[in-house]
Amino acid sequence: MTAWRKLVVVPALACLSLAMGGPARAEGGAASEDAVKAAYLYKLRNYIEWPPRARAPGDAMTVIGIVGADEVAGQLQAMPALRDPRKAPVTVRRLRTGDALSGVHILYVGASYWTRAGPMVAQAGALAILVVSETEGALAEGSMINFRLADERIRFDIALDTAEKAGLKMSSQLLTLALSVARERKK
Amino acid sequence: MAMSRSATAFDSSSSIRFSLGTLLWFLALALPAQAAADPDVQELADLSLEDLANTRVTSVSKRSEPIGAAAASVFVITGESIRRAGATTLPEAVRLAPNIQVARVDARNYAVTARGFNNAFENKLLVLIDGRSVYSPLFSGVFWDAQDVVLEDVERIEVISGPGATLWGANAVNGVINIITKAAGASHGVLASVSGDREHSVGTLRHGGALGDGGRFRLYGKTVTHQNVLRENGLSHPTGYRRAQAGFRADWGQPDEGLTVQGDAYSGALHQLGTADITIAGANLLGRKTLRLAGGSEVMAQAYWDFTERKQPNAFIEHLNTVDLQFQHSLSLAARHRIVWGGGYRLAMDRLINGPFSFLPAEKNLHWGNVFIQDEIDLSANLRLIAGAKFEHNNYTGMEFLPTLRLAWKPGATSLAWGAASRTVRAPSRTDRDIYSPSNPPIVGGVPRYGIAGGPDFDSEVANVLELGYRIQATPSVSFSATAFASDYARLRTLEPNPNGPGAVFLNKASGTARGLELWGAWQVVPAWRLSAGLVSQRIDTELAPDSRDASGAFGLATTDPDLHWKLRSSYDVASGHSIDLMLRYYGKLERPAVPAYRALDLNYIWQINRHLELSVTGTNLLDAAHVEYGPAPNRAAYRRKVGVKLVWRM
Repeated sequence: MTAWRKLVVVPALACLSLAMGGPARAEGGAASEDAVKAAYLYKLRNYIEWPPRARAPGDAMTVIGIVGADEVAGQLQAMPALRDPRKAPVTVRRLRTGDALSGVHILYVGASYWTRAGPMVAQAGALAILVVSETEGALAEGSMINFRLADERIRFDIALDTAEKAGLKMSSQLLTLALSVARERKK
Repeated sequence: MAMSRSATAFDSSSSIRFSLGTLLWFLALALPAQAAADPDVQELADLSLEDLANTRVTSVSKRSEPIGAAAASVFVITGESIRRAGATTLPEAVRLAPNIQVARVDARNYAVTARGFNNAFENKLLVLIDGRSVYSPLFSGVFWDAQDVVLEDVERIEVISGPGATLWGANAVNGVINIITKAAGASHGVLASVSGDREHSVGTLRHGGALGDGGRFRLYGKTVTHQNVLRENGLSHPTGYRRAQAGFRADWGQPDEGLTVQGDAYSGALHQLGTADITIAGANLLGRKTLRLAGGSEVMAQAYWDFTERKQPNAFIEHLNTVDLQFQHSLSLAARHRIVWGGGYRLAMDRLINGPFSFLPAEKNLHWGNVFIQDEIDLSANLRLIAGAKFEHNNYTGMEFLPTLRLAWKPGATSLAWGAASRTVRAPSRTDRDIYSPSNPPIVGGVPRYGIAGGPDFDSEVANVLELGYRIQATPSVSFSATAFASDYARLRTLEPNPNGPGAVFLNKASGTARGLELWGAWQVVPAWRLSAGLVSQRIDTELAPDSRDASGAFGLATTDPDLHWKLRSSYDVASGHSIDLMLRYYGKLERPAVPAYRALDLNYIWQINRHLELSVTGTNLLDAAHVEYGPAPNRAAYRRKVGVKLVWRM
């Protein structure tokens, strides 16, 4: 092996071996995207008004269904506020293909699952469930709030037209913070 | 085939020096982080929505740039990285990329390249600002003293070392720099910033807001003043400048389904030795529409107009109007093929008033037309083949063929190995074909006796490039990238005795090779501390053809490239609202004109006083009293230690 090959191969092998022996996922990594997204999901209920058919007035419990984003689900479930299910304001339900969405208020679809999420998203719209995603272009395919990175921060775009069609109302505070808001063309 | 050829290239170039210490250092860098603390989601959830939206997420660049996406040597400088570095000019921001070579020539000029052939008139690198080429067809390089953006509004700078011709066209020979500003929605509110040091002051005002129909906009104005710098011998180097620029950007819809309209206008006065100031002015207007069609395919159409004027006393006056149209369609076919195809046309109306030397004809319309197609094929679950080609027509050499073939193998979710073989050309510029000197030659027997009689037979310079790369996110906190390249250049420009008359003409009687290795990595040691480093080891050789009698060797074909340059950066959050960044760089010596190796250390401390106000203190060139980067002694510019202050107010 020439010196040149060594130069490329040795560090590469070192990295590979670390990758195999290292932690499998971002547990305990630097303050992560997933933690910030989990925090958003936890807080979103304060900025959304559901129609009475989806949520009885006075019903304090928010159910967040999560599919294709195990890390975010794990982060949420690890929150101290969620430990006591009787007092917790939020419950997390990990979903799989085919699971019923009744009772869910917020559906979060991870990037790895989005391409397969069509039927679930369509069902969510009919049930007045807030659909949140992290996939470029998802707003055109039924998502209502889509996370994206902007300037090393997690920001989001909103499809207000889709949300309104599902009977959801969004607070102006949320709309102000959105990088963009797609509204229905009235004129 | 590609693989075996590049392996041969490696065998033949084992002479490149590379220190064991550096290698060990990189290995140390790859050690996993141990002291990383649990991110506290509860704490995040207790923040206000505004503060959450303003929470910086660390080590995200690898996810925003999917590791499998690019089978090329790409480094992304984020807007945040520019802010933390305290960069105040575009070339200084570009310098943050490890795979780029930046030598400051004087107060306003920079020599910028990737993979060698650096020069104050560097001509093998393409630079785009928001999709608009700022490459001058006059010398096929960039007038860095006329390009500016509001650095606070830069979303990212993509620095691609290596050929990018299939997507970006002729002249993307050694690399592409893509400067991308934020969408208007990401620059909401008022920003006012002033920065100053002994030599350089910048003032910026920007306002972003909403339009009635769901669109967003921003407006900005910026002024820059730079004093003359000092020469090595202590005399003044009269290359200071003043520049004022204003512009706007408006966006509607999403990045992949929307409309962008933006424009800028600027004017400036640039000092030059022994003459009145060079005056520059320019304006541009760009529109880009993206559409998502039924079936998921995407269409992008873009048009821009660009005007530049440069009045350079004792040289020339140039008025250049450029109109550029582009169209691109991306679609998926049969689940395995992702196809991008498109075309473009550019017309540049160049109007010159000649001085002591002449571009003839003084008025010339240049045009470039192209069509391209690239297919990305999933060969298996973790193997992709990318094949593409561009046909580009120009009025000097006619049709040019610019193909690339890339193979990307993803052994796991976090790593990518790739190889590429590409052919690329540098099409002639006006300097290669149309330059005549002096403007009023003596006429003997009815024949003008020019010293330089253009380059009527000058052909495109050609490069065939092989690359091998590997990139890995080894752990959530450690990432690493390595690229080896072997480029063979043919038909490089030389200045030869005119075979058809008196004087000298530009011809293509040289060839060259470039071999090298680009390495970089980052390590998030703890959430508050990030280390990053990059290194380029390279060797550039050129050779004249046996029948060459090149007279331009005085300028050198490739004699101002360091064998080694590296940089190290530490980004540390001292406490909430306080951060300090240290940047150390090393450039090896340059051969001719001889420039000694140098090390330079820059420091930037940022104090976020409150939500609205940010104060930073920058120390530049802290290691020694002064260093030089380019040009012959003793009249070259020297860069002295200096301290600057910057205040940013956001509302």
